[in-house]
Amino acid sequence: MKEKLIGIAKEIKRLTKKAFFILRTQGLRALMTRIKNEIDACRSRKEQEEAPVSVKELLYNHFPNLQPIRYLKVERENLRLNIITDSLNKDSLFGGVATSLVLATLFSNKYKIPLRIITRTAKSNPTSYNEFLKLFKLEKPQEVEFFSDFDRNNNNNHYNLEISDKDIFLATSWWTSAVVKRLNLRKKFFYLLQEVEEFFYPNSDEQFLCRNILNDKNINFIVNSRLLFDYYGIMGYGNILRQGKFFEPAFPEYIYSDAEKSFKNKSEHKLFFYSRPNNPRNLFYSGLKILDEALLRNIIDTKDWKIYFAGLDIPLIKFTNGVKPVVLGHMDWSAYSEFIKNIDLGFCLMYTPHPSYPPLDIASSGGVVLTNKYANKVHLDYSENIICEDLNMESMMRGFAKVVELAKNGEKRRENYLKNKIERSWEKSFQEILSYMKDNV
Amino acid sequence: MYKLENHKINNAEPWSIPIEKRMVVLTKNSSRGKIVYIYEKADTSTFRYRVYNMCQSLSYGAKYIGTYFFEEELAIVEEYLDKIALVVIVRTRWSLKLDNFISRVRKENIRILFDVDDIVIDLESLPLLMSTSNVNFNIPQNYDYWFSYVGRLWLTGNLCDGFISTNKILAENISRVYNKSSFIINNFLNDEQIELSEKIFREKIKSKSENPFVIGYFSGSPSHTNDFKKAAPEIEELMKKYKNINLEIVGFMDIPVYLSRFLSEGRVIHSNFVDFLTLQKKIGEVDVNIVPLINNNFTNCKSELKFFEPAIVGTITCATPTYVYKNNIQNGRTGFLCEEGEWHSTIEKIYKNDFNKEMILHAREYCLENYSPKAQTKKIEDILDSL
Repeated sequence: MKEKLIGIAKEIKRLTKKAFFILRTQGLRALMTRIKNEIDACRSRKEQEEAPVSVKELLYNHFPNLQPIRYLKVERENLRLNIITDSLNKDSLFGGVATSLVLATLFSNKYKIPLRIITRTAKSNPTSYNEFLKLFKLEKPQEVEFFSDFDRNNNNNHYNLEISDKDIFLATSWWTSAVVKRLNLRKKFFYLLQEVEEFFYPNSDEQFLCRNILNDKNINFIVNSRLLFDYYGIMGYGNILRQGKFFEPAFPEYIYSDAEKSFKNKSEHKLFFYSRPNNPRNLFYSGLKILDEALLRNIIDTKDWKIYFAGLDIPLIKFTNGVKPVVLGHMDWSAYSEFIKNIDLGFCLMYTPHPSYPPLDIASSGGVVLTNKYANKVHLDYSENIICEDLNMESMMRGFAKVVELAKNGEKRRENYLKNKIERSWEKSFQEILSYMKDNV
Repeated sequence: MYKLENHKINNAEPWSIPIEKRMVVLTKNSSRGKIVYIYEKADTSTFRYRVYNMCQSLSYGAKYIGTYFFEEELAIVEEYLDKIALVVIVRTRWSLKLDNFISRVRKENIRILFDVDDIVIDLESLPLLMSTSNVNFNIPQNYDYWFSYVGRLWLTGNLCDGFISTNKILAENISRVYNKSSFIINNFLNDEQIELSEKIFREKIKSKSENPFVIGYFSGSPSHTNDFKKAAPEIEELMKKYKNINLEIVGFMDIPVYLSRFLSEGRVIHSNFVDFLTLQKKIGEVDVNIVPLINNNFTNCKSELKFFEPAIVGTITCATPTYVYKNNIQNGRTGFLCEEGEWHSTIEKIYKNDFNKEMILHAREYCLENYSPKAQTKKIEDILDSL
């Protein structure tokens, strides 16, 4: 109650100050007009609360990530690349978001085009972008701007994104593509497609809306990995095949490289289970069951192996044999890089055709990986240290037997590592994509 | 922050002079050309810079003398047109009264200039002005107010013979709108500010900054809400990282939601608008002055006052490199230019005392040399001579 009263007193003080300011700077008439407008707005809000909600409003509120960006058309002389993503916060700068920023930064640098980074669910985070540039050893574009409308539903935010027909857009998801469609003043835009985004949803409105975007004829798709590109082809997305281009992601040596002990004999080996209970496609629970079985069958002998879990929101667990994994939670880039190069065996499930990054992170850091097949993902050509198995218990047990043996065979593991076909340079990964983007601007 | 004593402020509105005293300039015999400035109603922003300070600067010369009148006094001024060499109408919205006055002045073959310090003269630029200034587009009355405001200013400008603006970009915009060139007279200081700031600066030399380290944002009006957001995320990070960094905001501002927790902790201090002399003291008390701006055609027309006012009280400025700041702050020598992503590291350097302290002296010297009323006299006289 006391806090409430303090809050009311503060609000009264704020409003009085504001009124005094208007009175002083704009005069009594302006003040009276403002008061009348506020009263009208309050009355209108009250009436709205009592009235049935309009379809428009219901839809607006139901799909927050589809809410349009308010914009203002301005004149502009030179091209500008706009990348639109959810957040630039440090915990979002892994995987797909980092890849999209690498692409945008390289494009901006190569063609000397200013870059604007638009975030929708979190405020602008230029510091985080700077740290990302350092980590990926990228040059900062000559001009970088930031815009966020994360507070778009706050009544005090009336600023509009300034856009012109010189603004090129790079969307990073189907929902940011949907927003760009209503914003873009050019005929086409780019969409960096890094997953089977329909899989994010059950059969639903979201899935339907997602498919509509994937079928859009005015989008130039940039697809992460040949496997994903081929999958869209198999599924009948002719427009993605016709209008799109794929790239293979890069795993630079300054982040991913073998450790001194990677291929040496050791008394204790490290097994890492990529554990993301809140990302259903990573099959956390199925993975747990498989791992539990492998331990029970002693395919993974806990005298030789220490088990690590890393990811967000991992519950505290113990296996049937009584062993408890070491739970590391979320790590920043440098901690992750250090951790991953000391891993002997990674167990990474991904219930989509995309290879996903963790198997490639581990393989490019000298480790061995067991992952699952899915549709056209039957073999991962990137490395002979990655074993891809069917998602059934017996296949997985066979897979574990293979990878355990391989992980302990330093010589073979090293030989495979040296034969890896994993791209190390983002510049090379994106070489053709950058030209494709330039040609389609 | 610097704890400064309360210097006595004799008169925070030195321009509040009765009409009979202002009229003396017109009635008294003098060989100097009499310049009359017209403004709607005295205020502490445009009026101070574009009218009061101009008259003060002219008083240092031997060729011209300036005085000013307000819209309600036009009928009186009309009686003395034969005494006037030139009329300068400063950012005054068209009215029938003003229109009649202009007609009378024109009949006497007296030249009329229009002085404007913002891009508030064309409807084409208005949406950008409204958006940048955070005007609510959902309130129909706002359209009526702003379209009327700009439309009336445009018409006043259209009735004048020439223009005075505050910088090159604004001059280019004026030329686009009216197809006429524009003289440039930048904003500058007045003697009252310089005198008080001298005392503040001397006091600061003798003292040391104490805890907490204070970042100052002197907003002036609620229209800077969006400008502030250009630095706010990085200010938040700094305040999270260093518990003894505070933020002081003077003037109206809708504080971003992520900074509001510091408000309840007393680490964001939000104080009301103050008079221009008290403002110098407040600026003098902080450890760094920040001038984040959206970088667009509207903000590039603005002046560099947020650099020269802090400089004379020995406060370092970090500013977005819009046209005037890029041209007047020598990055690393007289202040810092910060793009988004550079506020954090730059302010951190100042916080850690990792910068050349000579910067304070260089900035002060530069500003006193270039922005005092005396320093401007010759430039203004030359412009008046050329007419």
